[in-house]
Amino acid sequence: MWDLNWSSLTVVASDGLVGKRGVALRTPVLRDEGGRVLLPSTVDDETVKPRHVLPSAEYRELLDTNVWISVRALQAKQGHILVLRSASFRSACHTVPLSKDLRWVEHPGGITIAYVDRALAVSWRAQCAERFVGRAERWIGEHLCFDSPVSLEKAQTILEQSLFVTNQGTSVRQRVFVLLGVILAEVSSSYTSFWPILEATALVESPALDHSQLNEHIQTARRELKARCESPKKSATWAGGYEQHSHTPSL
Amino acid sequence: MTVEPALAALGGMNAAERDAYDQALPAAIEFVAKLPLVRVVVPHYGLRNALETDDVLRDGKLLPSHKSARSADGEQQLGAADGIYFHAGRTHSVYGKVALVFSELEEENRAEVTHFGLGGLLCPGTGADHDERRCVSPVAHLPPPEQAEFVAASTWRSDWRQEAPQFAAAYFGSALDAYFAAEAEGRPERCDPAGVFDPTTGCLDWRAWTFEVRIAAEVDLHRALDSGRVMMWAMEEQLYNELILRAANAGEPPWWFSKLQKQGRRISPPNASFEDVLVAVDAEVKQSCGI
Repeated sequence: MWDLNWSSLTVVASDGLVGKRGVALRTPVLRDEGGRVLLPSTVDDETVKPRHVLPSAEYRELLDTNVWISVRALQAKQGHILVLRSASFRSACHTVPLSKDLRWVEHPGGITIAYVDRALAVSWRAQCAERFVGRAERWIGEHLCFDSPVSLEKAQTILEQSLFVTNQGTSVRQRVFVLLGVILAEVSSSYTSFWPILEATALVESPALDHSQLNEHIQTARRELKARCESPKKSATWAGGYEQHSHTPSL
Repeated sequence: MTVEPALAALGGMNAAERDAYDQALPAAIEFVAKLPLVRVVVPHYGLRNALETDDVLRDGKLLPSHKSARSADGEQQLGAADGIYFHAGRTHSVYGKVALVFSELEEENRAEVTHFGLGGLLCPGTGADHDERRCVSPVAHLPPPEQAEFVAASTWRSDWRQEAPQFAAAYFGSALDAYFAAEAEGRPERCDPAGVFDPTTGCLDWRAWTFEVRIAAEVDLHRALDSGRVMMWAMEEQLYNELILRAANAGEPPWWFSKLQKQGRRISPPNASFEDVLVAVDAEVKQSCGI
């Protein structure tokens, strides 16, 4: 079985996005010098062992049906993955804004694509999550102080985007659910319909957390955000830390 | 019949081959008994995306209609039943965004099983796939009625877990880990009568020597989950989050996906692409087979 050198490979395509929001990490679809299209077993090894070599017809069908998308031909690099960003997620990024953004390439359909080292993609996701949560907290606080439904809507939208850059079982993801709980408690019509599923997801994803603890976190967050808005000088950012890598059951 | 099915070779073994087979058979029996069924569902776009999202993840049903028009046409030409396709023990990312891994299903009593995928047959004999040896060559170039005859002679049914170990022992021998190897690395060392496994002229795609289990019945995923037969599952991260938000929307009925979240074991390495996730699923499946 042949192992291939990264220098002999070109990135030609990527798995597409599923919906109209969010962001996704993708393994690059590669082409070798013989024209074979392949998915590597991993991007992290020194050489490439194909996991699947795609029959041409199958590859063509995937492109024609927009399951996969062509990307501008790039020299393949060890450890690099593709980051695909929807137009709405890009818009959310511009709202915060990010201090260290990736180098994005435009793609038809409003998608932007970056081809970067996995570690950089991971830190970029963490930065997105931190900024989004911070901005959502500010907007929620504005609503709690000044009764601003618009701020609340914006907070909900950016928190929904935050789900796409947080890993299951991490404290930052738990914080996203807590803040969504704060928001939905403010909108009684949404609370009864929208919240039960989100709450169930939060509890499934964080087995160490139970219903009453989650409610307690929501009440605490509400009090803190209101106080922070009322006395901005005394405010402190959430002290839970934005851990993206390990399971941290407590907030 | 123009070509003999793989199991026809069992009768023609010499003493050394027979000895190796006899030694390999007990492990192969254990291996096939444990071999999970893997189905990758929810194609990424198009009509089948919405349909399978609703049927599978909302309503909890796998249906024989979840297939491409090409697959449906192939079944008819090859005389195969209208089935739901599973690969025993292997994922392939081109089929969709959600991997479901099952231990033995009750519905296997309605199964047709071959040691190759039907999708590699009915090759026109030209084109890139043919040139790249991705078809189940040379069988795929026979007249369709002869291919149908080959499929019929190679098909196991509800007793496939009793029959398939003979194939595994004969062609993989004691090196059962080759069954899970990437691409042509997993090709059986022993050549089959039809020549599909011939390293020079045969097929290069692992789907040509992997058990394809086609269940000609609806699979009730609620029952499968409740009876503990969903061993593990994985979902593309973006789709997972989309579904959480969609399922949370007012007016949606309870989703099977929500039940799966609670009761199933999700394979979800952090900061991973879906391809990375499937690699993790494959490793778990292999381990579950004792390999």
